[in-house]
Amino acid sequence: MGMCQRSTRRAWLQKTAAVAAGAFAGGTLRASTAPTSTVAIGRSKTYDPSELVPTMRTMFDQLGGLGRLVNGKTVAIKINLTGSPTYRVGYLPLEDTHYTHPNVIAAAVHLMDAAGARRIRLLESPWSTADPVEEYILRANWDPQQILSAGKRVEFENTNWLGNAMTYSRFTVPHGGYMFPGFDLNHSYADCDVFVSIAKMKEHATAGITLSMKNCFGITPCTIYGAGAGVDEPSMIPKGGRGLVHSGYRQPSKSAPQEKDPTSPREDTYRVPRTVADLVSARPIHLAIVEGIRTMTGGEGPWIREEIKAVAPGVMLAGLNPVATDAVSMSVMGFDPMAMRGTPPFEVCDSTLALAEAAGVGTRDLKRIEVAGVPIADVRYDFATIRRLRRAKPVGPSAVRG
Amino acid sequence: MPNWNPIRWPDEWRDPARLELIASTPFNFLFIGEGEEFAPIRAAAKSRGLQTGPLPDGVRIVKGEWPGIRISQNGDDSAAAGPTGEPWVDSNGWRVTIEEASSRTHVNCWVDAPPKGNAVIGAGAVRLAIADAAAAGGRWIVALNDALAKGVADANPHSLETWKEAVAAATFFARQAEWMNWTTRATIGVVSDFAGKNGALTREVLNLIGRAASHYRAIAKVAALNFEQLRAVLYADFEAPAPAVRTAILDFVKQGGTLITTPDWGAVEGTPRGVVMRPGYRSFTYGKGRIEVAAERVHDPYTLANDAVIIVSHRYDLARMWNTGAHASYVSALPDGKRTLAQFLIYSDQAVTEATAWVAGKYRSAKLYTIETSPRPVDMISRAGGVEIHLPRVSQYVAIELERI
Repeated sequence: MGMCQRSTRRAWLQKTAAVAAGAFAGGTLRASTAPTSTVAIGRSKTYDPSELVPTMRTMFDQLGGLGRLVNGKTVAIKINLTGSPTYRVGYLPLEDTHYTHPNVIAAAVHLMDAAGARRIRLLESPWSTADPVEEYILRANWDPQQILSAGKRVEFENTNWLGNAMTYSRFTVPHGGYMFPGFDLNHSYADCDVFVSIAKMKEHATAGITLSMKNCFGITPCTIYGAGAGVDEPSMIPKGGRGLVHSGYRQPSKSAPQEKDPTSPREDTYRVPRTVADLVSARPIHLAIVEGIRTMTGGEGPWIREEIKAVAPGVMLAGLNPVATDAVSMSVMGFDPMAMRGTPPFEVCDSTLALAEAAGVGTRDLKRIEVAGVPIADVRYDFATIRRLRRAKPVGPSAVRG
Repeated sequence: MPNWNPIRWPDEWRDPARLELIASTPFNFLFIGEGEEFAPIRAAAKSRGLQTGPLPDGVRIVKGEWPGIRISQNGDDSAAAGPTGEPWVDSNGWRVTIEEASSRTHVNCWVDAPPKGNAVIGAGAVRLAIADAAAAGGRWIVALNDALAKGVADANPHSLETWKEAVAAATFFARQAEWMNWTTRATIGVVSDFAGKNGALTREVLNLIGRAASHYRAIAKVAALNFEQLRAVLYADFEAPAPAVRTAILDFVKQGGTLITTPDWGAVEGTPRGVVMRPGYRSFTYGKGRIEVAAERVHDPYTLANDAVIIVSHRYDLARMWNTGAHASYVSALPDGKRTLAQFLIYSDQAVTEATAWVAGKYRSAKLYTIETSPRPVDMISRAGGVEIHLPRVSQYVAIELERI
């Protein structure tokens, strides 16, 4: 590395530290008073509905019951179908490694329907397409009917574009935003009474971990925030991924709120955690579900160049506060939810949890979070040790950051 | 039908002794330069029982493109992108199917698509060129560029390796010539004259339906209209169909098929359904089937192809594949339906590992074919109304022959 690059790197680090310090300084007070909520932990070794449904029912009961949350309401559920349906980890079905399992989605739908949900919408922004989500998951060898028939009024909507509305819905970030003061999203995120995030328990190459909050990075439509987004107005159809948000090489379509500070670091490990914290502030999550029955280590999908491995922690978590739910999930994964940049899994990125906590979304302090159901220690699946051992091995030049 | 395997004789090879290179290969038709300097080669070829012209009966030649992922023109070796950001793939399969559809009799379609320029050609590229035409039922006219021809003549190891692969691939498809008689399976039939303004749209639509992982049949308006086993027919020509064509298509709809068309179809038969099945389309019931008419004329082949694939639905896919990147597939069956053949083309320079293939239907056994290895039984896993097969390391072509339950 040349002196010039070294200097640039140092300058960037200084700037990042200064910006981060600023971001967290104001949030320290808010962190101590950030909302908390019970997080339920359940064990399910399989996706067999006879084991899964009772486990999830018990967890929801431990949170006060689903009826209280969804009865008579329109529920929007963001699921996680990251990456193309034609890429697997080895020979494994996508749901065994990086997609939210269809049985978990169906079980949630079934239980919400039974609890009186008026309408249930399953939302995802599938990779580079405006086609119906049903068509997308068929290519993963799923049967959408299995999910649609789990409740009375269930539908999918692709939120990667305008969809079935005349305009995008504007969401404002209450705390002003780290990266964006607001977002323009598909109407489904506004046309709901209850918003649920069902995530897969995974590490993430850019954000360290991906749980209920990071799942919401995908609520941004690529017609505005994607590679093919229109400059002035949203494009008609989405094209490519969200490199625009990752690297900040350009701004979203001008019709949407623009980045607050275009001189801030153009580094995905800085930008993505902040954008996620902004998103979950603007579009609050009422119920966070983290599915870790079968998943993967090493990253969020098969495209990750770090050594990836399919694992079966056999655990599920749910909570009414996404920061608290993600904090307990991190602890189940063997990570310290109080970790900051420089500490696993945030070796080179900022902590989405810390940012969200500082923004007043919720607490990540386990001392302030009541855990119901199975104790953390009993279900711990040590992603952290696997990560440490994996990274202790010699790696090739293409190993990804963490 | 005779088992023809054509090759374009390199101008570089002036010595009749070079004919030894194709001894014990399936190449049996030689395109040899017309100059006097090639007269000794023509004579020597004939004495070996090789054909040098005229074209055999039933053979049609179509101009094609050197198949594979198109490299962008910006000089950085990156892949050119298609409409969705996926790599752009040049393939000749759709050209073969149009040629076959346009003939009233069975034809042997040869694809003339020599390599562009004089760049080094790898074994995988030649294997793909041969398989790309053969999987669709045609034959690539094997063509070496000057560098490869010279390299083979000079016994350059890299060139000889590529030549060996070309011979191996041609031999493989010559041995499996019976597959050319199997009935091609498809979900979407594209009815067109495939000429002029219509052809500019519908030829590309065929290509893009294949890229969208669906299966098509070209149906020429001039030939017998065969809609057997199709789920939908796409009619997108810029003029209303002739009465006979219209009647045939509507009969297909009446029996439960779907017609996807544009305003150029003219007055739409049937009853409005009052529901939107696909944004931008009006839906009608007609007999047991339905008609989906684009509200406005669709000029973009990608949009039209994608609309057709989604209106039909991936629920009726015949084959799927994972972990290969850009690929195409062809599915065919014995006329009695007892055996199904799924052929997969993988548009990659390198072999792929941990790929999975899926074929719709119920089967008792499966046999794997590759150009490099002998056919062998493979295990199947029942899934999603079909069977999944976990593939070993495979290169640009793999076929699975399945026996129905």
